[in-house]
Amino acid sequence: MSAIPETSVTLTEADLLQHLPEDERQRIKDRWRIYQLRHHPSWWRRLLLFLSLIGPGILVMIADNDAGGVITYAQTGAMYGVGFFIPFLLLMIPVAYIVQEMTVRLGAVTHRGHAEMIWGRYGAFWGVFSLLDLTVANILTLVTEFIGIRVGMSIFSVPPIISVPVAWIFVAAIMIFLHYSTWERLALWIAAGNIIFVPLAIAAHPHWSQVVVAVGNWHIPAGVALGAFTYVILANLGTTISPWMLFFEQSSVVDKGLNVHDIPSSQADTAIGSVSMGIIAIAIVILTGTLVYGHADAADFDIQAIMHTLRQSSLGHVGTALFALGLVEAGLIAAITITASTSWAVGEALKLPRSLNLKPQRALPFYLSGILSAGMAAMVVLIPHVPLGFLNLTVQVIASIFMPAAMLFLLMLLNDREIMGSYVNRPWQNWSAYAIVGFLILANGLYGYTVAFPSS
Amino acid sequence: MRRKEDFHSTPTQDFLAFLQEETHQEPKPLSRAPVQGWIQIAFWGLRIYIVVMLVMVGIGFARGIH
Repeated sequence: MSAIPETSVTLTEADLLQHLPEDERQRIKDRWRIYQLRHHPSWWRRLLLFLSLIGPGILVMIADNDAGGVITYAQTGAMYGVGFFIPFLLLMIPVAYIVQEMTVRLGAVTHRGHAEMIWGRYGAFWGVFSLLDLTVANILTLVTEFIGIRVGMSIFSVPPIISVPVAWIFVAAIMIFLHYSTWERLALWIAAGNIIFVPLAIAAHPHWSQVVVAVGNWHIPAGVALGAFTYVILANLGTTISPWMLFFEQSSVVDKGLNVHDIPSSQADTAIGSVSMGIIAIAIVILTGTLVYGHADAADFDIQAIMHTLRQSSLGHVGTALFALGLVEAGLIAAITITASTSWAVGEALKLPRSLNLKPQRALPFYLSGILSAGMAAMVVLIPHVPLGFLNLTVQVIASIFMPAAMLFLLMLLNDREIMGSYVNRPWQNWSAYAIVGFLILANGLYGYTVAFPSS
Repeated sequence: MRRKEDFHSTPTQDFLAFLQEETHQEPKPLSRAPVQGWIQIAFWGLRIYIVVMLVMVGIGFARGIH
């Protein structure tokens, strides 16, 4: 940031900001409101301060319940009912929090994004590896988001040729035309739509006693195929922690201008997001675990078959339409955040001007990198007879290769006293993260083994 | 809708203190980390992991095609 010019009585406060670059000027305006709220406290102002500081944590966690996530949870409930996966998803809440909280501290302390930290601290090889892997994984994940939007809108008889391009244009337009704070507020309102799955789960009239019992006993249904069960566990784990989430939240913290004073609020933001994510995921499992589980061939249902069964159930047409809207919302919020994460990562790695506060003519490569990659994903969805199964497998493979690597870099950075100072990981945070990385490597190794040797 | 700006015509002490605080938020220069000890071991482990995973995935795709 540029130094403050010598003050003179003729300068106004606004004049003092004029010498700053455009993105910093906008950020300083946002930060000035936060500073005033923090230094003139009252109950009302404390609430406003908290509401101003939340954003990255809730966004990343709700976006994690993306279209692929909603489909995975719906299929999990349809296949296995409300047994094992309710306590499993409850366990995923602290797992997601522990991983994402590290990105909050890293961003607030260093004021640099994840891609920039890897490139700057560990060199071009790992920087290029991370960037390429993230970009490819993001494009493929975006394909699944646009598939969710396509499937959800088809319930309302909207053809893919309309729904998919309109969604892409919306994602691109809000990124280009809105400043960070407005973009974040709009994204948070869209994310609020994810809550729709909770009243739908309640409307399914589940046996709450079974749900409560399931929390305590990790019940695995009798006669399940171990391979398929392991695959579903991996899919649920994969939807809880993903590489793009690390890059997104850290870059978002930096673009929002958060600093070490904001870490407690951002931790609360991430905690609220984690709990919301877990509750919504469990609601989807309860919904299909109640209304779809037990039907003939339910284990082989795809999302269309699940929605067809929901329509025939007590949920009816209106409930199924709301479920479809939830699927569209899940795809849209994830498309918004993943597109931004690509732009930020490319901007950080290539040292481009990078901020949602910049006008498009000042940061065209930054905006285009995300928007064009989202456009590629949208086009793939419009190709007739595209091999979606192959694409889905490829997404999982790339993510499974990259996630332990991304976690390793995160752990190394969080234990680097030279850059983190007193904000380095505490022992319990390290041990928790080591356990998560160990489980990821073990699970991915098992998955890789079953892919390579399916008959074993 | 254009939001009302929160600025005064003359800089207040509060505003100057805020600007001073914000100007100290500039990222510190970033230098390469020394790759030695457990970090070197971790990097080699990561390379081996990536190669093993790529080989297994390659086998999986090859079997899937045939």
